[in-house]
Amino acid sequence: MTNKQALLQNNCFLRQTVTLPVPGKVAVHLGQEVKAGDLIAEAILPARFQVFDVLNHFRIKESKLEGSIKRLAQEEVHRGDVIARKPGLISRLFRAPEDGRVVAVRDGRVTLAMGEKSITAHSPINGVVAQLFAGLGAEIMIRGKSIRGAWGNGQFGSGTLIYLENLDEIGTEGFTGKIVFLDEILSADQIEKLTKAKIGGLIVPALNPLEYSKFSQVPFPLMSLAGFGETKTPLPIQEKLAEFFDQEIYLLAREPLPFQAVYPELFLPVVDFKTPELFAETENWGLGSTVQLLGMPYFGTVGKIVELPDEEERLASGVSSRIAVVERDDGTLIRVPLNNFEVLKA
Amino acid sequence: MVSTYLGIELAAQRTRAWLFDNESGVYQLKAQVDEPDYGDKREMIHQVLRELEKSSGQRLHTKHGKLFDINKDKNSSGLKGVGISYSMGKPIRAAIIGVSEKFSLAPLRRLLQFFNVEIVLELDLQKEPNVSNQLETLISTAYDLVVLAGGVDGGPEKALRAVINNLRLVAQLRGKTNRPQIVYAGNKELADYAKLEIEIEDDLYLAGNIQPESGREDLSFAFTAVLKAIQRVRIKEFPELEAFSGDPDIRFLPSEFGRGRIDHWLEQTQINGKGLLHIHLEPDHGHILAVRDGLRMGLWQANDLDQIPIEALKSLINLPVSDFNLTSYIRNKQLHPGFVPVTIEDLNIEFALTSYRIRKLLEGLSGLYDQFLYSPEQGLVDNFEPIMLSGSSLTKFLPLRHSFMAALDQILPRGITTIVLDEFQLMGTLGILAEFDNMLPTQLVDSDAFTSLATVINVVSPNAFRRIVLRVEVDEGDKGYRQHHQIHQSELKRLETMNNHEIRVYLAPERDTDVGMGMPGLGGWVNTTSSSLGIIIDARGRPLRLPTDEKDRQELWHDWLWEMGV
Repeated sequence: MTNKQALLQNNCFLRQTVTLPVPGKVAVHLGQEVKAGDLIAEAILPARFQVFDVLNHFRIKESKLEGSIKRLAQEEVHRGDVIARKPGLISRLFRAPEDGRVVAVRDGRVTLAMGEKSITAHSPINGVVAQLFAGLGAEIMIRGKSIRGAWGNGQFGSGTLIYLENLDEIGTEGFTGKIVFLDEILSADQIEKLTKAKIGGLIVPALNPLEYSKFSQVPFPLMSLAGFGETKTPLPIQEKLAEFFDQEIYLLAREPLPFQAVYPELFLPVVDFKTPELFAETENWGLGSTVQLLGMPYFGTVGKIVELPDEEERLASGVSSRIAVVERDDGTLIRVPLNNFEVLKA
Repeated sequence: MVSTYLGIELAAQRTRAWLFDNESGVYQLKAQVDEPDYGDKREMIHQVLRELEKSSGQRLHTKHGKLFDINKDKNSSGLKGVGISYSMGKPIRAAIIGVSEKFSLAPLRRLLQFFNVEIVLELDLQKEPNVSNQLETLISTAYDLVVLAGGVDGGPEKALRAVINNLRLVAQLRGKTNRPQIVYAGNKELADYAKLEIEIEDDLYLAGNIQPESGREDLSFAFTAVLKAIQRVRIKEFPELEAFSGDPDIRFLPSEFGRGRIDHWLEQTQINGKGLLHIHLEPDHGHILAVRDGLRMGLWQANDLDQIPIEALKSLINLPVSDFNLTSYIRNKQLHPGFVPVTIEDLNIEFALTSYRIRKLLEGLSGLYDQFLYSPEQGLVDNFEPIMLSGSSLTKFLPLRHSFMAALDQILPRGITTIVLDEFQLMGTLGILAEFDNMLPTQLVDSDAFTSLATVINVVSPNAFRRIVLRVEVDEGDKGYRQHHQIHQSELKRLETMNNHEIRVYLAPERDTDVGMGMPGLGGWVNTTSSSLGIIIDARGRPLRLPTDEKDRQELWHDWLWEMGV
């Protein structure tokens, strides 16, 4: 049986990796509590480098090199300091163009590092440092309830989750910073209205695939629950969302990387939850599990698994696959390949 | 004494395992498992081993439940070795540095793009001679692997010395845990200098010069070093696999390398004078390998559905599909790569996607290697036999005939060829296990572990549409009964053959018609064995003459698929 994880989780961990693109220093320690916005790691890189080839520029012999270089590796230098000097009647100098440090003296070349540029990584959530990645960052963890989505635009946000019946309700005030759940298939022309309202994020049941390029550029976090196509939010997800309304939640609209198990997620932190183990137990799905169907013509709809045959079956397309028999809400039974549904509740 | 070998492949979202032994006197596939996975790779290995233990009765865990129960006594039966191949993991970010585009960067692209590597930085020391700028670029880019090449042995050294100095700084600034793996494959005279200067011990790999003399390129000099560097990057990414890296009874190598090794060996041992082409498609990536006259050419392509132009896909679909449904399928397939097509519409989109991916692989390889001549209109220019197909995108997401047609229509092979399906995805693991006992792949290749899909006879003729181009006589050795067929221009004909028969086919082409027997008009007997689809005679010409009208084109395609029994 495939070990799919349920989309709706009650007592689980949100694990968010926060790392630098290039190595630097990690500013937190294991077990440390952090707030959203706290610095997790920082890389301070020289803003500029200058490599000065003493042999070539001064046109001196290698035997005279040692006497020409006036600074040692790792020495700090100030603007105007003499780094190298060619002796003789007409003396030539190489001076430090800025404050900095000599980082290498090799093979007749002096390398200066000057200025500073800083790259930082901040936590998008409150939580506890659960794991450190040497030189790169940390994993921040928090316990609570989760609703996993299918697609996100790569942005993170937090705020109060509110329900919006339809887009006509939205004004320019009262929505600032709010995470909005809109039970409509979003089209690109609605984005402008939502942007003007300065919402803090948006959750929709599905997106119009023909306008994909516009969705990836919206200025707020955007998550689609089912992916791309036409569907409404099914009842089990609506019920779970109801627990999130009017609460401070995180919308981590990660861009999905299915091969690395990275998905967007809506998360409600709950401090009261207690689990004795560090890792919450995996729930096994099977007969009786509620599932959400992928693919046409049942895209986004839900049902219950009523049968799980052991053998592969030949589908209408001619492909053979292991399947589950799913009873839909209207009582119809359909045979669905195991890969063609997500488990909502185990 | 029975020798048993275990092959394991760690793929994205799947773990596969195979057990081979020579109990019957020759090596055979005893059991195999193919499991989806989403978690810890080491735990997945335990899981597939438990499945194999159940189906084979062979103990693979030690008495204490550890990996693996290897019998080190050469004179008694048991598990003798384990080959772990891997295709999982993010593309390795690589920087390539060379002294010229033609003689160092282009070969380095060929070297690295064989593997699951994304080249994120290219530094041409001729175009960017400023050492300060080189250093800034090297410092500010994120990568896991650097490969430096350039200069013939004994040639100029100055530019290379400067960049080696810079790499020393990069390694120092990044620190021991985060410094990149560095492969030096340039002027041999500087190898020791690089080692002493960069001073990063096990993170530096010295390879032979991939261009030892002007105009001579040999990427094989750098393969071992690159493999070691890749292994180290993967172990950093999956630390749970570290225990496998130093054990002499375990080989841990990329799957694409294993496939390349077997393909190379097959090409070297066959006597038909043709090359070997292998297309491997998985949901997350594709890999193409062509071996010709001992030259191994390969290309790994990540399956980035974002980059697929919808118009290109529409031209490959043989049913009317709305743009909304088409784009929905593609976008959702990206989110759920394991999605299996159920409806006829899904199937047609999946077919188009597969066709497109095969075409991109062929075009990509042709762009990398001058020796691999291909265009989407003319197809392959050179002769390749066999053409191998493998990977779950071809074996699990499409019916056999659709996979065959997708491959045939994009490859457009020349002359007479055989198309073979590696249904159990054995090629990669056989290439790895060959290190223990080379009889294992030899005997497996001779067994029925591979599925012969079809013998394809490609007919190229200047004759007009519907004119006869070829006459065929098929002798199945069945009490003198022979089938006779006439093949017309633009026709795709399937001749079904009976199972377990040696089949002889007599080809009598028209005067200007070329069937790959050496010259136009020349025919003769062709011996072939039975296969799943039989003998396919493709007289559709090059390029395929497709109607411009979408509906007419779809109808024609439908006819061709119908002929294949789809």
